[in-house]
Amino acid sequence: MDKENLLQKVKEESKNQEIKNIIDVLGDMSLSDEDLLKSLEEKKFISFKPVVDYDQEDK
Amino acid sequence: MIKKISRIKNIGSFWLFDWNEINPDNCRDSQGNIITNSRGNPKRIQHEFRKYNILFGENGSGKTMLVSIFKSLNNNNSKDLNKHWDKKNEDREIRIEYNASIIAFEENSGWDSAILEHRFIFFDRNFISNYVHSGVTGRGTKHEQNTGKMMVYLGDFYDYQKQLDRFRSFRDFLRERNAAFEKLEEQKYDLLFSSIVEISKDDIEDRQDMVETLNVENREEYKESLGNKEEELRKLEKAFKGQKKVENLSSLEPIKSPIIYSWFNLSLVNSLFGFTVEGTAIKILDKIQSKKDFIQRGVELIEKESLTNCPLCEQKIRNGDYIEIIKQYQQVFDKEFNNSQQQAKKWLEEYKKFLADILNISTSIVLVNNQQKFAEINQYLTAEKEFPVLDSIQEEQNIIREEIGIVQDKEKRILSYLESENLERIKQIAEKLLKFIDNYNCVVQETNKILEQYKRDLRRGKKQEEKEKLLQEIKQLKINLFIIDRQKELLRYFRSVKCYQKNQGSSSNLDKIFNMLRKRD
Repeated sequence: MDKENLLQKVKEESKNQEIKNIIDVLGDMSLSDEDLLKSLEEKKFISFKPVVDYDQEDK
Repeated sequence: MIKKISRIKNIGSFWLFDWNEINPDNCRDSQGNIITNSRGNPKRIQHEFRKYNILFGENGSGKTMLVSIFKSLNNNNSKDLNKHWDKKNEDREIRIEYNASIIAFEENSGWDSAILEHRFIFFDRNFISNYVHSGVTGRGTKHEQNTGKMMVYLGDFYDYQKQLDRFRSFRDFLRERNAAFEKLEEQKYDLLFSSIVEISKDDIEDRQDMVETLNVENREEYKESLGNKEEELRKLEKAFKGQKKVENLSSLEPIKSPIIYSWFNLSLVNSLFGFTVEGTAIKILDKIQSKKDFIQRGVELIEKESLTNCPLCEQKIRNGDYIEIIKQYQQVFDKEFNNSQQQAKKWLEEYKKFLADILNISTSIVLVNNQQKFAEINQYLTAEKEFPVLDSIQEEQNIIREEIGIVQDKEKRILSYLESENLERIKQIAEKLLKFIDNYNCVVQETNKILEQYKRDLRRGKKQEEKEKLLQEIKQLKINLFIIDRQKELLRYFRSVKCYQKNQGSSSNLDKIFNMLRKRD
Protein backbone atom coordinates (compact mmCIF):
# COMPACT_ATOMS: atom_id res chain seq x y z
CA MET A 1 0.00 0.00 0.00
CA ASP A 2 1.53 3.34 -0.97
CA LYS A 3 1.47 6.53 1.07
CA GLU A 4 -1.49 8.09 -0.72
CA ASN A 5 -3.60 5.01 -0.42
CA LEU A 6 -3.07 4.76 3.33
CA LEU A 7 -4.58 8.22 4.04
CA GLN A 8 -7.19 7.75 1.35
CA LYS A 9 -8.25 4.45 2.87
CA VAL A 10 -8.64 6.13 6.25
CA LYS A 11 -10.72 8.83 4.60
CA GLU A 12 -12.92 6.24 2.91
CA GLU A 13 -13.43 4.26 6.10
CA SER A 14 -14.08 7.23 8.39
CA LYS A 15 -17.67 8.28 9.04
CA ASN A 16 -16.56 11.58 10.48
CA GLN A 17 -17.02 14.30 7.87
CA GLU A 18 -14.59 16.69 9.56
CA ILE A 19 -11.88 14.03 9.45
CA LYS A 20 -12.57 13.52 5.77
CA ASN A 21 -12.30 17.27 5.23
CA ILE A 22 -9.03 17.50 7.15
CA ILE A 23 -7.52 14.66 5.09
CA ASP A 24 -8.58 16.52 1.96
CA VAL A 25 -6.72 19.61 3.17
CA LEU A 26 -3.61 17.63 4.18
CA GLY A 27 -3.48 15.91 0.80
CA ASP A 28 -0.45 13.68 0.55
CA MET A 29 1.32 15.72 3.24
CA SER A 30 4.09 16.62 0.87
CA LEU A 31 3.88 20.29 1.94
CA SER A 32 6.03 21.63 4.75
CA ASP A 33 4.60 21.83 8.29
CA GLU A 34 4.16 25.60 7.94
CA ASP A 35 2.32 25.23 4.65
CA LEU A 36 0.08 22.48 6.00
CA LEU A 37 -0.70 24.71 8.96
CA LYS A 38 -1.53 27.55 6.60
CA SER A 39 -3.84 25.29 4.61
CA LEU A 40 -5.70 24.20 7.73
CA GLU A 41 -5.94 27.85 8.79
CA GLU A 42 -7.29 28.91 5.41
CA LYS A 43 -9.99 26.26 5.68
CA LYS A 44 -10.80 27.41 9.23
CA PHE A 45 -9.85 24.17 10.95
CA ILE A 46 -7.43 26.07 13.12
CA SER A 47 -6.68 29.68 13.95
CA PHE A 48 -3.94 31.63 15.63
CA LYS A 49 -5.53 35.02 15.08
CA PRO A 50 -7.55 36.01 18.14
CA VAL A 51 -8.99 39.19 16.65
CA VAL A 52 -12.54 40.44 16.51
CA ASP A 53 -12.54 40.53 12.71
CA TYR A 54 -11.52 36.93 12.58
CA ASP A 55 -14.40 35.86 14.77
CA GLN A 56 -16.81 37.83 12.67
CA GLU A 57 -15.52 36.07 9.60
CA ASP A 58 -15.70 32.79 11.42
CA LYS A 59 -19.38 33.28 12.21
CA MET B 1 19.52 -9.84 1.60
CA ILE B 2 22.90 -9.45 3.29
CA LYS B 3 24.84 -12.67 2.91
CA LYS B 4 27.95 -11.85 4.85
CA ILE B 5 30.17 -9.10 6.14
CA SER B 6 33.25 -10.13 4.21
CA ARG B 7 35.74 -7.68 5.64
CA ILE B 8 36.00 -5.14 8.41
CA LYS B 9 39.20 -3.15 8.75
CA ASN B 10 40.01 -0.72 11.54
CA ILE B 11 36.46 -0.34 12.86
CA GLY B 12 35.90 -0.48 16.61
CA SER B 13 37.33 -3.65 18.06
CA PHE B 14 37.83 -5.08 14.56
CA TRP B 15 41.42 -4.54 13.60
CA LEU B 16 41.19 -6.79 10.62
CA PHE B 17 38.20 -9.11 10.30
CA ASP B 18 37.93 -11.56 7.40
CA TRP B 19 34.70 -13.61 7.24
CA ASN B 20 36.13 -16.39 5.05
CA GLU B 21 39.22 -16.86 7.18
CA ILE B 22 37.20 -17.70 10.28
CA ASN B 23 34.36 -19.44 8.46
CA PRO B 24 35.82 -22.37 6.40
CA ASP B 25 33.69 -23.76 3.58
CA ASN B 26 34.12 -27.42 4.59
CA CYS B 27 33.26 -29.36 7.71
CA ARG B 28 36.29 -30.93 9.44
CA ASP B 29 36.55 -33.51 12.19
CA SER B 30 38.51 -33.11 15.40
CA GLN B 31 41.66 -34.21 13.60
CA GLY B 32 41.18 -31.65 10.89
CA ASN B 33 40.04 -34.04 8.16
CA ILE B 34 37.35 -32.90 5.72
CA ILE B 35 34.05 -34.60 6.36
CA THR B 36 32.29 -35.92 3.27
CA ASN B 37 28.71 -36.84 2.59
CA SER B 38 27.35 -40.20 1.48
CA ARG B 39 28.31 -39.43 -2.05
CA GLY B 40 31.88 -38.69 -1.04
CA ASN B 41 31.60 -35.01 -1.64
CA PRO B 42 32.94 -32.63 1.07
CA LYS B 43 30.24 -31.57 3.45
CA ARG B 44 29.81 -27.79 2.98
CA ILE B 45 29.21 -25.41 5.85
CA GLN B 46 26.40 -22.87 5.42
CA HIS B 47 28.03 -19.74 6.88
CA GLU B 48 26.04 -16.91 5.38
CA PHE B 49 23.39 -14.95 7.23
CA ARG B 50 19.95 -16.48 7.23
CA LYS B 51 16.51 -15.04 7.90
CA TYR B 52 17.06 -15.27 11.65
CA ASN B 53 20.57 -14.91 13.07
CA ILE B 54 21.96 -14.69 16.56
CA LEU B 55 25.05 -12.68 17.37
CA PHE B 56 26.71 -13.51 20.63
CA GLY B 57 30.10 -12.92 22.13
CA GLU B 58 32.01 -11.56 25.09
CA ASN B 59 31.93 -7.92 26.05
CA GLY B 60 34.10 -5.90 23.69
CA SER B 61 34.06 -8.56 21.01
CA GLY B 62 32.26 -6.21 18.53
CA LYS B 63 28.52 -7.01 18.70
CA THR B 64 27.50 -3.40 19.05
CA MET B 65 29.95 -2.37 16.33
CA LEU B 66 28.24 -4.77 13.91
CA VAL B 67 24.95 -3.03 14.71
CA SER B 68 26.73 0.29 14.16
CA ILE B 69 27.74 -0.89 10.69
CA PHE B 70 24.08 -1.68 9.92
CA LYS B 71 23.11 1.76 11.21
CA SER B 72 25.79 3.27 9.03
CA LEU B 73 24.24 1.49 6.05
CA ASN B 74 20.76 2.59 7.10
CA ASN B 75 21.78 6.23 7.48
CA ASN B 76 24.29 6.14 4.62
CA ASN B 77 26.96 7.85 6.68
CA SER B 78 29.98 6.97 8.78
CA LYS B 79 28.89 8.62 12.00
CA ASP B 80 28.85 5.41 14.01
CA LEU B 81 32.00 3.90 12.52
CA ASN B 82 34.71 4.66 15.05
CA LYS B 83 38.28 3.70 14.27
CA HIS B 84 40.23 1.11 16.29
CA TRP B 85 41.83 2.61 19.40
CA ASP B 86 45.34 1.76 18.20
CA LYS B 87 44.84 2.57 14.50
CA LYS B 88 43.66 6.15 14.53
CA ASN B 89 45.86 7.08 11.59
CA GLU B 90 44.88 4.17 9.38
CA ASP B 91 42.01 3.99 6.91
CA ARG B 92 38.79 2.08 7.51
CA GLU B 93 37.27 -0.40 5.15
CA ILE B 94 34.14 -2.57 5.06
CA ARG B 95 32.89 -4.99 2.43
CA ILE B 96 29.44 -6.55 2.53
CA GLU B 97 27.98 -9.18 0.26
CA TYR B 98 24.43 -8.17 -0.64
CA ASN B 99 22.57 -10.58 -2.90
CA ALA B 100 24.92 -10.97 -5.85
CA SER B 101 26.77 -7.71 -5.37
CA ILE B 102 29.29 -6.12 -3.02
CA ILE B 103 28.66 -2.99 -1.03
CA ALA B 104 31.89 -1.36 0.06
CA PHE B 105 32.87 1.39 2.47
CA GLU B 106 36.13 3.26 1.84
CA GLU B 107 37.76 5.87 4.10
CA ASN B 108 37.60 8.67 1.57
CA SER B 109 34.42 7.89 -0.37
CA GLY B 110 32.12 6.33 2.26
CA TRP B 111 29.56 3.74 1.17
CA ASP B 112 29.52 3.13 -2.55
CA SER B 113 25.81 2.22 -2.59
CA ALA B 114 22.69 3.55 -0.87
CA ILE B 115 20.66 0.47 -1.64
CA LEU B 116 20.32 -0.39 2.06
CA GLU B 117 19.52 3.14 3.20
CA HIS B 118 16.40 3.18 5.41
CA ARG B 119 16.05 -0.59 5.14
CA PHE B 120 16.69 -1.38 8.81
CA ILE B 121 14.75 -0.99 11.97
CA PHE B 122 16.70 -1.24 15.22
CA PHE B 123 15.05 -2.46 18.37
CA ASP B 124 17.93 -1.25 20.47
CA ARG B 125 18.45 1.07 23.40
CA ASN B 126 17.73 4.11 21.24
CA PHE B 127 14.50 2.60 20.00
CA ILE B 128 13.40 1.91 23.57
CA SER B 129 14.40 5.42 24.55
CA ASN B 130 12.58 7.01 21.63
CA TYR B 131 9.46 4.91 21.47
CA VAL B 132 9.04 3.11 24.77
CA HIS B 133 10.78 5.19 27.43
CA SER B 134 10.55 8.85 26.54
CA GLY B 135 8.86 11.90 27.88
CA VAL B 136 7.89 11.98 31.55
CA THR B 137 10.02 10.05 34.06
CA GLY B 138 8.04 7.15 35.48
CA ARG B 139 7.38 6.57 39.15
CA GLY B 140 10.02 4.43 40.84
CA THR B 141 12.09 4.14 37.70
CA LYS B 142 14.78 6.13 36.04
CA HIS B 143 13.24 5.56 32.63
CA GLU B 144 11.01 8.03 30.96
CA GLN B 145 7.79 6.55 29.72
CA ASN B 146 5.73 7.33 26.70
CA THR B 147 4.37 4.06 25.46
CA GLY B 148 1.88 5.90 23.27
CA LYS B 149 4.63 6.38 20.75
CA MET B 150 5.63 2.71 20.50
CA MET B 151 5.21 1.29 17.05
CA VAL B 152 6.21 -2.13 15.74
CA TYR B 153 5.96 -2.83 12.11
CA LEU B 154 6.05 -5.99 10.12
CA GLY B 155 6.56 -6.39 6.41
CA ASP B 156 7.75 -3.52 4.18
CA PHE B 157 7.60 -1.11 7.03
CA TYR B 158 9.70 1.70 5.72
CA ASP B 159 7.06 3.46 3.65
CA TYR B 160 4.48 3.03 6.34
CA GLN B 161 6.82 4.32 8.98
CA LYS B 162 7.80 7.26 6.87
CA GLN B 163 4.18 8.22 6.34
CA LEU B 164 3.31 7.70 9.98
CA ASP B 165 6.38 9.64 11.05
CA ARG B 166 5.40 12.45 8.73
CA PHE B 167 1.89 12.49 10.08
CA ARG B 168 3.02 12.28 13.67
CA SER B 169 5.59 14.97 13.08
CA PHE B 170 2.93 17.34 11.76
CA ARG B 171 0.52 16.44 14.55
CA ASP B 172 3.25 17.23 17.11
CA PHE B 173 4.10 20.42 15.23
CA LEU B 174 0.48 21.55 15.48
CA ARG B 175 0.34 20.63 19.16
CA GLU B 176 3.52 22.51 19.92
CA ARG B 177 2.42 25.52 17.92
CA ASN B 178 -0.92 25.56 19.70
CA ALA B 179 0.74 25.15 23.12
CA ALA B 180 3.14 28.01 22.32
CA PHE B 181 0.21 30.12 21.12
CA GLU B 182 -1.69 29.45 24.34
CA LYS B 183 1.37 30.17 26.47
CA LEU B 184 2.04 33.48 24.74
CA GLU B 185 -1.58 34.60 25.06
CA GLU B 186 -1.63 33.54 28.72
CA GLN B 187 1.52 35.57 29.34
CA LYS B 188 -0.08 38.63 27.75
CA TYR B 189 -3.21 38.00 29.82
CA ASP B 190 -1.17 37.67 33.03
CA LEU B 191 0.52 40.98 32.30
CA LEU B 192 -2.86 42.72 32.38
CA PHE B 193 -3.14 41.80 36.05
CA SER B 194 0.48 42.33 37.04
CA SER B 195 0.06 45.90 38.24
CA ILE B 196 -3.30 45.37 39.96
CA VAL B 197 -3.65 43.61 43.27
CA GLU B 198 -7.37 43.99 43.84
CA ILE B 199 -8.53 42.29 40.65
CA SER B 200 -7.62 38.74 39.76
CA LYS B 201 -8.19 36.56 36.75
CA ASP B 202 -11.00 34.82 38.66
CA ASP B 203 -12.89 38.11 38.81
CA ILE B 204 -12.86 38.37 35.03
CA GLU B 205 -13.23 34.68 34.16
CA ASP B 206 -17.00 34.55 34.72
CA ARG B 207 -17.64 38.02 33.33
CA GLN B 208 -16.97 37.36 29.67
CA ASP B 209 -20.38 38.70 28.71
CA MET B 210 -19.59 41.93 30.50
CA VAL B 211 -16.29 42.24 28.63
CA GLU B 212 -18.26 41.97 25.40
CA THR B 213 -20.94 44.47 26.32
CA LEU B 214 -19.50 47.13 28.66
CA ASN B 215 -19.74 50.54 27.03
CA VAL B 216 -16.66 52.74 27.19
CA GLU B 217 -18.91 55.80 27.20
CA ASN B 218 -19.93 54.92 30.77
CA ARG B 219 -16.36 55.15 32.02
CA GLU B 220 -16.69 58.62 33.60
CA GLU B 221 -19.96 57.62 35.25
CA TYR B 222 -18.30 54.54 36.80
CA LYS B 223 -15.31 56.58 37.86
CA GLU B 224 -17.43 59.21 39.57
CA SER B 225 -19.55 56.57 41.23
CA LEU B 226 -16.42 54.78 42.43
CA GLY B 227 -15.07 58.02 43.94
CA ASN B 228 -18.35 58.57 45.78
CA LYS B 229 -18.52 55.01 47.08
CA GLU B 230 -14.93 55.09 48.27
CA GLU B 231 -15.60 58.35 50.07
CA GLU B 232 -18.68 56.80 51.63
CA LEU B 233 -16.63 53.81 52.76
CA ARG B 234 -13.96 56.08 54.21
CA LYS B 235 -16.61 57.91 56.23
CA LEU B 236 -18.18 54.66 57.35
CA GLU B 237 -14.85 53.35 58.60
CA LYS B 238 -14.29 56.62 60.41
CA ALA B 239 -17.71 56.21 62.03
CA PHE B 240 -16.81 52.71 63.22
CA LYS B 241 -13.69 54.08 64.85
CA GLY B 242 -15.43 57.10 66.39
CA GLN B 243 -18.86 55.71 67.24
CA LYS B 244 -19.12 57.88 70.36
CA LYS B 245 -18.47 61.03 68.37
CA VAL B 246 -21.25 60.08 65.98
CA GLU B 247 -23.65 59.58 68.90
CA ASN B 248 -22.83 63.09 70.11
CA LEU B 249 -23.47 64.78 66.78
CA SER B 250 -26.11 67.51 67.19
CA SER B 251 -29.15 67.88 65.00
CA LEU B 252 -29.47 70.92 62.76
CA GLU B 253 -31.86 73.75 63.66
CA PRO B 254 -34.45 75.07 61.25
CA ILE B 255 -34.58 78.81 60.57
CA LYS B 256 -37.08 80.28 63.02
CA SER B 257 -36.55 83.86 62.11
CA PRO B 258 -39.33 86.30 63.12
CA ILE B 259 -39.50 86.97 59.45
CA ILE B 260 -41.62 83.85 59.08
CA TYR B 261 -44.15 84.95 61.69
CA SER B 262 -44.22 88.62 60.85
CA TRP B 263 -44.04 88.44 57.12
CA PHE B 264 -44.92 91.93 56.03
CA ASN B 265 -47.79 92.60 53.68
CA LEU B 266 -45.92 94.48 50.98
CA SER B 267 -49.08 95.74 49.34
CA LEU B 268 -49.33 98.22 52.23
CA VAL B 269 -46.04 99.90 51.49
CA ASN B 270 -47.30 102.37 48.90
CA SER B 271 -50.15 103.59 51.14
CA LEU B 272 -47.72 103.83 54.03
CA PHE B 273 -45.34 106.10 52.19
CA GLY B 274 -48.37 108.06 50.90
CA PHE B 275 -49.78 108.72 54.41
CA THR B 276 -50.65 112.48 54.70
CA VAL B 277 -53.30 114.71 56.44
CA GLU B 278 -55.04 115.29 53.18
CA GLY B 279 -55.09 111.60 52.30
CA THR B 280 -56.40 110.70 55.75
CA ALA B 281 -59.07 113.44 55.67
CA ILE B 282 -60.38 112.21 52.36
CA LYS B 283 -60.61 108.73 53.80
CA ILE B 284 -62.52 109.99 56.83
CA LEU B 285 -64.86 112.07 54.67
CA ASP B 286 -65.43 108.97 52.60
CA LYS B 287 -66.28 107.14 55.81
CA ILE B 288 -68.88 109.71 56.86
CA GLN B 289 -70.22 110.32 53.32
CA SER B 290 -73.33 108.27 54.03
CA LYS B 291 -74.03 110.33 57.15
CA LYS B 292 -73.89 113.65 55.27
CA ASP B 293 -77.54 113.60 54.09
CA PHE B 294 -78.66 112.41 57.48
CA ILE B 295 -76.99 115.35 59.16
CA GLN B 296 -78.24 117.97 56.63
CA ARG B 297 -81.80 116.61 56.92
CA GLY B 298 -81.61 116.76 60.71
CA VAL B 299 -80.49 120.43 60.68
CA GLU B 300 -83.25 121.34 58.21
CA LEU B 301 -85.85 119.60 60.38
CA ILE B 302 -84.73 121.51 63.43
CA GLU B 303 -84.77 124.85 61.59
CA LYS B 304 -87.98 124.46 59.58
CA GLU B 305 -90.15 122.57 62.05
CA SER B 306 -88.89 124.71 64.98
CA LEU B 307 -88.40 121.59 66.96
CA THR B 308 -87.73 122.21 70.61
CA ASN B 309 -86.70 118.67 71.33
CA CYS B 310 -84.38 116.39 69.36
CA PRO B 311 -86.48 113.72 67.56
CA LEU B 312 -83.81 111.14 68.33
CA CYS B 313 -82.74 111.71 71.93
CA GLU B 314 -85.74 113.91 72.92
CA GLN B 315 -83.43 116.33 74.71
CA LYS B 316 -84.10 120.01 74.61
CA ILE B 317 -82.54 121.83 71.64
CA ARG B 318 -80.85 125.02 72.49
CA ASN B 319 -79.27 127.73 70.37
CA GLY B 320 -75.67 126.88 69.66
CA ASP B 321 -76.27 123.18 69.73
CA TYR B 322 -75.24 123.04 66.02
CA ILE B 323 -71.76 124.10 67.00
CA GLU B 324 -71.66 121.14 69.32
CA ILE B 325 -72.53 118.79 66.45
CA ILE B 326 -69.70 120.26 64.38
CA LYS B 327 -67.38 119.85 67.32
CA GLN B 328 -68.38 116.29 67.67
CA TYR B 329 -67.60 115.73 64.00
CA GLN B 330 -64.22 117.37 64.56
CA GLN B 331 -63.56 114.94 67.38
CA VAL B 332 -64.50 112.03 65.18
CA PHE B 333 -61.98 113.23 62.54
CA ASP B 334 -59.22 113.79 65.08
CA LYS B 335 -59.70 110.35 66.52
CA GLU B 336 -59.71 108.65 63.09
CA PHE B 337 -56.65 110.60 61.97
CA ASN B 338 -54.79 109.75 65.10
CA ASN B 339 -55.62 106.08 64.73
CA SER B 340 -54.46 106.07 61.11
CA GLN B 341 -51.23 107.81 62.02
CA GLN B 342 -50.52 105.34 64.80
CA GLN B 343 -51.27 102.45 62.50
CA ALA B 344 -48.97 103.92 59.86
CA LYS B 345 -46.18 104.29 62.39
CA LYS B 346 -46.69 100.74 63.58
CA TRP B 347 -46.57 99.36 60.05
CA LEU B 348 -43.52 101.46 59.26
CA GLU B 349 -41.82 99.91 62.27
CA GLU B 350 -42.80 96.41 61.14
CA TYR B 351 -41.69 97.08 57.58
CA LYS B 352 -38.34 98.33 58.83
CA LYS B 353 -37.92 95.22 60.95
CA PHE B 354 -38.86 93.04 58.04
CA LEU B 355 -36.22 94.75 55.88
CA ALA B 356 -33.62 94.43 58.62
CA ASP B 357 -34.39 90.71 58.96
CA ILE B 358 -33.86 90.19 55.24
CA LEU B 359 -30.58 92.03 55.48
CA ASN B 360 -29.40 90.07 58.49
CA ILE B 361 -30.59 86.59 57.63
CA SER B 362 -27.35 85.66 55.83
CA THR B 363 -25.40 86.32 59.02
CA SER B 364 -27.96 84.63 61.29
CA ILE B 365 -26.45 82.62 64.14
CA VAL B 366 -28.63 79.62 63.16
CA LEU B 367 -27.05 79.52 59.73
CA VAL B 368 -23.56 79.81 61.16
CA ASN B 369 -24.17 77.08 63.75
CA ASN B 370 -25.80 74.76 61.26
CA GLN B 371 -22.94 75.22 58.83
CA GLN B 372 -20.52 74.04 61.49
CA LYS B 373 -22.74 71.13 62.57
CA PHE B 374 -23.26 70.05 59.01
CA ALA B 375 -19.50 69.98 58.41
CA GLU B 376 -19.13 67.66 61.42
CA ILE B 377 -21.99 65.39 60.26
CA ASN B 378 -20.51 65.33 56.78
CA GLN B 379 -17.39 63.67 58.15
CA TYR B 380 -19.42 60.52 58.75
CA LEU B 381 -22.32 60.52 56.34
CA THR B 382 -23.18 62.04 53.04
CA ALA B 383 -26.47 63.92 52.86
CA GLU B 384 -28.48 63.33 49.73
CA LYS B 385 -28.96 67.04 49.14
CA GLU B 386 -26.36 69.74 49.18
CA PHE B 387 -26.60 72.04 52.15
CA PRO B 388 -28.13 75.35 50.97
CA VAL B 389 -26.04 78.47 51.24
CA LEU B 390 -27.64 81.89 51.00
CA ASP B 391 -25.94 83.95 48.38
CA SER B 392 -27.07 87.46 49.18
CA ILE B 393 -25.59 89.70 46.57
CA GLN B 394 -24.33 93.21 47.22
CA GLU B 395 -26.87 94.86 44.90
CA GLU B 396 -29.75 93.33 46.89
CA GLN B 397 -28.25 94.45 50.17
CA ASN B 398 -27.85 97.99 48.81
CA ILE B 399 -31.50 98.11 47.76
CA ILE B 400 -32.66 96.96 51.19
CA ARG B 401 -30.43 99.51 52.92
CA GLU B 402 -31.81 102.26 50.71
CA GLU B 403 -35.36 101.13 51.52
CA ILE B 404 -34.63 101.18 55.24
CA GLY B 405 -33.38 104.75 54.75
CA ILE B 406 -36.69 105.73 53.13
CA VAL B 407 -38.66 104.13 55.97
CA GLN B 408 -36.61 105.99 58.56
CA ASP B 409 -37.15 109.22 56.65
CA LYS B 410 -40.90 108.60 56.59
CA GLU B 411 -40.91 107.87 60.31
CA LYS B 412 -39.33 111.27 60.92
CA ARG B 413 -41.68 113.08 58.56
CA ILE B 414 -44.79 111.00 58.92
CA LEU B 415 -47.11 113.48 57.20
CA SER B 416 -44.80 114.04 54.19
CA TYR B 417 -45.61 112.21 51.03
CA LEU B 418 -42.81 109.83 49.99
CA GLU B 419 -42.40 107.27 47.21
CA SER B 420 -40.20 104.18 46.83
CA GLU B 421 -39.05 102.74 43.50
CA ASN B 422 -37.65 99.66 45.21
CA LEU B 423 -40.89 97.86 45.99
CA GLU B 424 -40.79 95.42 43.04
CA ARG B 425 -37.19 94.46 43.77
CA ILE B 426 -37.97 94.14 47.47
CA LYS B 427 -40.77 91.73 46.56
CA GLN B 428 -38.39 89.68 44.39
CA ILE B 429 -35.74 89.57 47.10
CA ALA B 430 -38.34 88.57 49.67
CA GLU B 431 -39.68 85.80 47.41
CA LYS B 432 -36.18 84.48 46.87
CA LEU B 433 -35.56 84.48 50.60
CA LEU B 434 -38.79 82.69 51.31
CA LYS B 435 -37.86 79.94 48.86
CA PHE B 436 -34.44 79.66 50.43
CA ILE B 437 -35.90 79.27 53.90
CA ASP B 438 -38.32 76.59 52.69
CA ASN B 439 -35.55 74.65 51.02
CA TYR B 440 -33.17 75.17 53.92
CA ASN B 441 -35.59 73.88 56.52
CA CYS B 442 -36.45 70.95 54.28
CA VAL B 443 -32.77 69.96 54.06
CA VAL B 444 -32.36 70.45 57.78
CA GLN B 445 -35.28 68.15 58.42
CA GLU B 446 -33.99 65.48 56.03
CA THR B 447 -30.45 65.67 57.36
CA ASN B 448 -31.67 65.29 60.93
CA LYS B 449 -33.73 62.28 59.90
CA ILE B 450 -30.74 60.68 58.16
CA LEU B 451 -28.49 61.43 61.12
CA GLU B 452 -30.84 59.77 63.58
CA GLN B 453 -31.26 56.76 61.34
CA TYR B 454 -27.48 56.58 60.93
CA LYS B 455 -26.99 56.55 64.70
CA ARG B 456 -29.60 53.80 65.10
CA ASP B 457 -28.06 51.70 62.31
CA LEU B 458 -24.62 52.11 63.79
CA ARG B 459 -25.86 50.92 67.19
CA ARG B 460 -27.71 47.93 65.69
CA GLY B 461 -24.80 46.79 63.47
CA LYS B 462 -26.62 47.54 60.25
CA LYS B 463 -23.75 49.70 59.11
CA GLN B 464 -21.52 46.63 59.02
CA GLU B 465 -23.87 45.07 56.45
CA GLU B 466 -23.84 48.34 54.57
CA LYS B 467 -20.05 48.27 54.56
CA GLU B 468 -20.02 44.76 53.07
CA LYS B 469 -22.42 45.88 50.37
CA LEU B 470 -20.35 48.98 49.72
CA LEU B 471 -17.19 46.89 49.37
CA GLN B 472 -18.92 44.70 46.80
CA GLU B 473 -20.14 47.72 44.86
CA ILE B 474 -16.67 49.25 44.89
CA LYS B 475 -15.18 45.99 43.68
CA GLN B 476 -17.71 45.77 40.87
CA LEU B 477 -17.02 49.36 39.80
CA LYS B 478 -13.28 48.69 39.82
CA ILE B 479 -13.85 45.59 37.70
CA ASN B 480 -15.95 47.65 35.29
CA LEU B 481 -13.19 50.24 34.94
CA PHE B 482 -10.55 47.50 34.64
CA ILE B 483 -12.55 45.89 31.84
CA ILE B 484 -13.19 49.18 30.03
CA ASP B 485 -9.53 50.19 30.21
CA ARG B 486 -8.38 46.79 28.87
CA GLN B 487 -11.40 45.74 26.85
CA LYS B 488 -9.48 45.14 23.63
CA GLU B 489 -6.82 43.01 25.30
CA LEU B 490 -9.37 41.02 27.29
CA LEU B 491 -11.45 40.37 24.20
CA ARG B 492 -8.30 39.24 22.43
CA TYR B 493 -7.58 36.79 25.24
CA PHE B 494 -11.07 35.29 25.20
CA ARG B 495 -10.85 34.96 21.43
CA SER B 496 -7.48 33.27 21.82
CA VAL B 497 -8.99 30.74 24.21
CA LYS B 498 -11.62 29.94 21.59
CA CYS B 499 -8.88 29.62 18.95
CA TYR B 500 -6.89 27.34 21.23
CA GLN B 501 -9.90 25.12 21.88
CA LYS B 502 -10.71 25.01 18.21
CA ASN B 503 -7.11 24.05 17.43
CA GLN B 504 -7.25 21.38 20.13
CA GLY B 505 -10.31 19.97 18.41
CA SER B 506 -8.47 19.75 15.12
CA SER B 507 -5.46 18.29 16.90
CA SER B 508 -7.73 15.58 18.35
CA ASN B 509 -8.96 14.83 14.87
CA LEU B 510 -5.35 14.42 13.76
CA ASP B 511 -4.91 11.96 16.64
CA LYS B 512 -7.90 10.00 15.42
CA ILE B 513 -6.51 9.93 11.88
CA PHE B 514 -3.15 8.86 13.24
CA ASN B 515 -4.68 5.99 15.20
CA MET B 516 -6.63 4.90 12.15
CA LEU B 517 -3.44 4.97 10.09
CA ARG B 518 -1.72 2.77 12.64
CA LYS B 519 -4.59 0.30 12.63
CA ARG B 520 -4.60 0.15 8.87
CA ASP B 521 -0.88 -0.42 8.87
